[in-house]
Amino acid sequence: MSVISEKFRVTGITCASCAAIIERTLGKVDGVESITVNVATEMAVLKYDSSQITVEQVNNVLVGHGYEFHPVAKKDETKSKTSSDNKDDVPSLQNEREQEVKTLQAKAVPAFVAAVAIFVLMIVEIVLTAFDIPFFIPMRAWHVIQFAIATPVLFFAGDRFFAGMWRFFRHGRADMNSLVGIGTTVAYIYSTAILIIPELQTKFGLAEAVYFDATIVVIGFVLFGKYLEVRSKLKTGEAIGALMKLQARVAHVKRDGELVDVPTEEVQPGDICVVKVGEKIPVDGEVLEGTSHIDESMITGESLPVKRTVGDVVIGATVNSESVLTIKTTAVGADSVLSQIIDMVQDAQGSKAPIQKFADVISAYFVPAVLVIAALAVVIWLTVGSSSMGFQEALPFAVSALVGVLVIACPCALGLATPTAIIVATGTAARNGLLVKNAESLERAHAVDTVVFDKTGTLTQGKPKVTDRVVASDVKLSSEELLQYAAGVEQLSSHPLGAAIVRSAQENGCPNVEVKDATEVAGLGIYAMINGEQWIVGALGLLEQQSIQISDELMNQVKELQKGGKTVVHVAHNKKHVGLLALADVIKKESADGISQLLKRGIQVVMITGDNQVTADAIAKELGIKEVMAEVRPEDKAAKVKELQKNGRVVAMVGDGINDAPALAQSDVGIAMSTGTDVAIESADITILHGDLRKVYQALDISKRTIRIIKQNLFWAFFYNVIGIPLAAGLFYPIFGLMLNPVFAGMAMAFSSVSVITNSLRLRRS
Amino acid sequence: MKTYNFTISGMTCHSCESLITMDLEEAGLPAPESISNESGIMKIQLEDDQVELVKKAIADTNKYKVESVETV
Repeated sequence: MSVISEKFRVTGITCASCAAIIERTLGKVDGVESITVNVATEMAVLKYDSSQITVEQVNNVLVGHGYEFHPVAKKDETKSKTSSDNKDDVPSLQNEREQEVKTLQAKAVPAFVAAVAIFVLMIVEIVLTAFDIPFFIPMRAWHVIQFAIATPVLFFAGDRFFAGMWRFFRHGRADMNSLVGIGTTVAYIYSTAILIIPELQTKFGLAEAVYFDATIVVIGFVLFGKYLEVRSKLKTGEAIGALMKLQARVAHVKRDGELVDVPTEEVQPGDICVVKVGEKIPVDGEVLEGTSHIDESMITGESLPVKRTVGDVVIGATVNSESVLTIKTTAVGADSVLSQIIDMVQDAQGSKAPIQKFADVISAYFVPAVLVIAALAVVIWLTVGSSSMGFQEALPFAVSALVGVLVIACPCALGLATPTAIIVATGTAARNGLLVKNAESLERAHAVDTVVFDKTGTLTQGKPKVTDRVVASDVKLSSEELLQYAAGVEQLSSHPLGAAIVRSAQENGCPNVEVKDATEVAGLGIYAMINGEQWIVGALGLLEQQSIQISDELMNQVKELQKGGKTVVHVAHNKKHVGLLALADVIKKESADGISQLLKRGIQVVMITGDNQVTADAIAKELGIKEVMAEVRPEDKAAKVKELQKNGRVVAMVGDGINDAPALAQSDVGIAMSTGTDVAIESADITILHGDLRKVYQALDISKRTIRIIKQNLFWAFFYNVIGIPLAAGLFYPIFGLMLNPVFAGMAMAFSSVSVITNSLRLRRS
Repeated sequence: MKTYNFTISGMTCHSCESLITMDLEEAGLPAPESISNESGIMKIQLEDDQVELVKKAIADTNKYKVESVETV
């Protein structure tokens, strides 16, 4: 027996269920000792007895489920990986879905082009006929051209509608695909019969008309709508890819007293890693040595780097911004914070109730009803009709009724109602700086009554700035000079607040000063000489350490500033406490407008943040937000959104951080800022360009208009059917002598499509 | 024997469909006639006393939830 443990890249895997299927299927196979699959990395570790089973046999078991194991080339652990080595490991995420989109694109795009061309010519033909002008293509040639286009459109591009029709005949369940399948196939068969055997026309007294255009237009538009939908869904899986990219590629691990570079995925719990300044922390761990400030904004949304020292927990993918740390690995792979966020995003995406497609619901009743009506019409014409007017007379009526009913019921307008509105609305949204990734969200957003905003980076700029400069009253120093000298000293500091002070000074146009003899006191601040005079900038502790008399006047101000959620830095000049600089995250200038727009329309606005209550309240007050959820941990944001949903609210979530991703996925409509992290953008349904919050209301407004237009479209579609079907069946013939000739049935259908498309185009107005 | 439509939440892809089918088979229950992650509907023929067993098998996954059951 020779048991070996090998690592494989898995293709075909899309979610946690795939992992479960592989683990369960292979778990039952003889010779497999153990199998673990990591969805996030698309890697599997297989322990198997090579004398009993080969990798090929494993793949034979998996192939039925659509997965495949690819061996990963063994790497020399002591060798640092180069970026090209890494390519094998980067998961070929959702290849299968990409393939599906490509296949669909090859069918949908040509079909759509053909449909638009035929549609335009169809309208031209109708207009010319109305003015008694002959159409510029000879009738027979025109029919042959249409036949030549309709054939590949129906049999190649429209294969899914065929399948839908087949499903209906086998299982009796009709959806939009069955309806499109039946309508277009009947139109095609009838038209082909007339084209090939023109005698049929005279024999049955049928009108001179073919309906290839119906086949082409309906399939072209409906398929293109489907293509857009599938393409948008492709994006939802990319959140994982974006998260993967965040991880550090390499960790410096202590092995046998030496520091070796190891690919992050090979780091084991318990490994000791060293993290240099400016590097990403490779894994979740606990600090063993060192003190540093860590930029955790990508995970927690907290704008200021946080201090981490011995015994503190650090999170993988956050950035070490100040000094070297030694950490002990506590969690890797699926157990890490990042992986858990991926799981939460996936769970939330899965828990979204699918929108029951209105058109599908209608089709389920409509298809059988139409078939029954068509059959009844034939039977009645051939029985009741022929008994009163004779069989020879009644037969043409029966054929006309059959074809007329099926053609007019061909779901042109019904099929176009939703996709055309969505296509136009998506375009309008894009022109307004709103990228709609998930078309369904446009249908969902109209009902939103609550908008939840993340604070940091969404409502605020996410970067601290100097907001207040206080100079002690007994000191001859302007507030500009205070900032200028403080920034001068801080230039030499590695502290994150120092960078914020320097940035603010530059924005205020403060000139540079020459600084000498700088000494940084870790965690407290920095002191240095400018023009032979000593300046100290830092925490109160540093001033006390330097035996500087603390000004009571300034300390009173400190309390006030802290109440407003600000961080205060003290400044001393020649051993005298001279001033204060207060730093805070600044509200974006569009935020207030964006929020008042929503409040004016009666939409509830909630602010959610991991930040402390004081800071949160201060910002909420300034923006006029009454509902505040502060100190919410990243993993609880989604739960808070869920809670609102449970109370019957329809929630849109606006955010930008990775920690917002689960909440964005959980909300009914997730809206990400384009300035935010890729993970948030991929988890959301809509992305706002340039981070302008005023667009939130615009998104909801476009959605409202879209729904209104879809409803109107469906009305028109039905209106034509309700009038047309009984007319085509010949119901009114015995009473009024009125019967819809199939030519007019085709025209009525064209008109209903025109009205639907024209109506949808109204959405172009922004 | 009746045909039931189970509305199930939590399905995200074809694997979820397969996983539920596997779970039912492992619980000694019949395989569904059809199951769709898009519509969230599973159509299945069951004896009356099997409905609760199916609900339990799905609840035990801790991932999917039966929202409603109706006879067809």
